[in-house]
Order: sequence, then structure tokens, then C-alpha cells
Amino acid sequence: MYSDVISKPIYRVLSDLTQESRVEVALPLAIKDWLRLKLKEAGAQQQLYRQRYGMEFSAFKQAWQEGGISDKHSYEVERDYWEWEAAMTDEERLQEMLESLP
Amino acid sequence: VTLAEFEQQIFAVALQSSICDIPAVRRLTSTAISLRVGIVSGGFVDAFFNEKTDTTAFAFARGGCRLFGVDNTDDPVAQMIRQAPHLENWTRRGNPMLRQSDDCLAPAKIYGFIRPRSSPQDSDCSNILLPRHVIHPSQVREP
Repeated sequence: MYSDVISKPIYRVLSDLTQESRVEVALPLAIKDWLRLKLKEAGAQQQLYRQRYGMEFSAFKQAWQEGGISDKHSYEVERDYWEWEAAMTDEERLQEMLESLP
Repeated sequence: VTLAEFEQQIFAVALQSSICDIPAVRRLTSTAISLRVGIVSGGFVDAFFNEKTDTTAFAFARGGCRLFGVDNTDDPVAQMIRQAPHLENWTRRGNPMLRQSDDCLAPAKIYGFIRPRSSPQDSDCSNILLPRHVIHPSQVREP
């Protein structure tokens, strides 16, 4: 019984979103959609940083290590480094998750 | 160290400190976490950890300026940090840059490895007074 696992409001949204009344089918569909959405977000975030710095992260990282990034220890630039790296590692992890689903 | 363990460590250290506010998780993703710890005398410490790359970074900022920071990417102290990459090793005992006179430095475990990125005179922050409990650049000994 689905109500043993999820609440009725959640079930209603889940079945509306997926157009699937069977929880065991609807849940994997929703999770796949969620992963795709998160992948899209991670990709968009990387694109933002690529546009901001005019290079790929690998080039940015190399330039960072070689002192080629101006103001690299400002709060904003350093935060961009961590967030950009995280967007890349998130994308890899999310892709692995997506591929692990049937 | 997992993301959850890192978060727990930051909370544990901050909650023990009298000058730290309760940490706030700013961003939590599948591979990385970013937390902010407010310092009651002003400013905040941002803590960042990426589980996949093992990147760990701390930055102390005040008035929009980054005053101190440490990470394990390309710093001269990187080798030292790699030998003690996690917070439990960033205590005074494992940190030759901290001295007895830095006892009031809090939370030592959070920014115990802090060193100046640049001289305050070189930045727009030259008129910003450091919080009483924060180590001054002149007190930090380079490795």
C-alpha cells in the first residue's frame, strides 16, 4: 500500500507529475527526472563560469596554480573556484547515479 | 571524511566556541558542502569541502573582504595540509604555526591553519580592524 511509504499529498503530486498511478513505477520516473534536472543545473552553472572566465575549468585550475588568475584570492574568485569544481564533480556523480538506474 | 562527517565536525567546533555563531549550511550537493560560521565580533568563516576531490578550504571574510584563508590546492603549506587534511588534525598540536599566545584564537580547529593571503595594506580592507580573537598576519609564521 503506497500510504505505508509516502503521504497522500506526495502520492498525488507524484502520480500527477508522472501520470503514473503505480508508485513503484512513478518513483523511478520521478527520480530520473530529478537527476536530469540536477544535471541541467550543474551544466548551467559550469556554463556560467566558462563565460565569466572565458575558459574551461581545467585551464582555469592550471592558471590558478600558475598564478595566472588575477585577484585569485579575493573572496569572489576563490568561491568561484570551489563552486565550479563542485559543479563538475556533481555532474559526474549525478551521471553515475542516472546510469545506475534501470 | 564524508560530507556529513565534515558538517558534524564544523558544527562540533563552532558550538564549543564562544565566539562562533551556529553554522549554516549554504550549499549541499551530491559531492560538496559549503558552510558559513558567523563570528560574533564580526565577519564569518566559510568552510568548503568537496568529497570527490578532497578539496578543503576555509576563508575568513569581513566587510566583503577575504582576510585570511587556507586550502589544500596550491599553497606552500599544501604539503603540510595533505599530511593532516582533516579538521581533527588542524588543532594546535598539529599546527606549528600556532603559538601559546594564540590561545584565544577561536575556533582553532576551523582556521587553525590560517595564514595571510595578502597584506591588509595591499587591499581595500586596510581600515578594517581584525576581531580581537583573530590571529593577526604578523603573528603567523610562514612554514
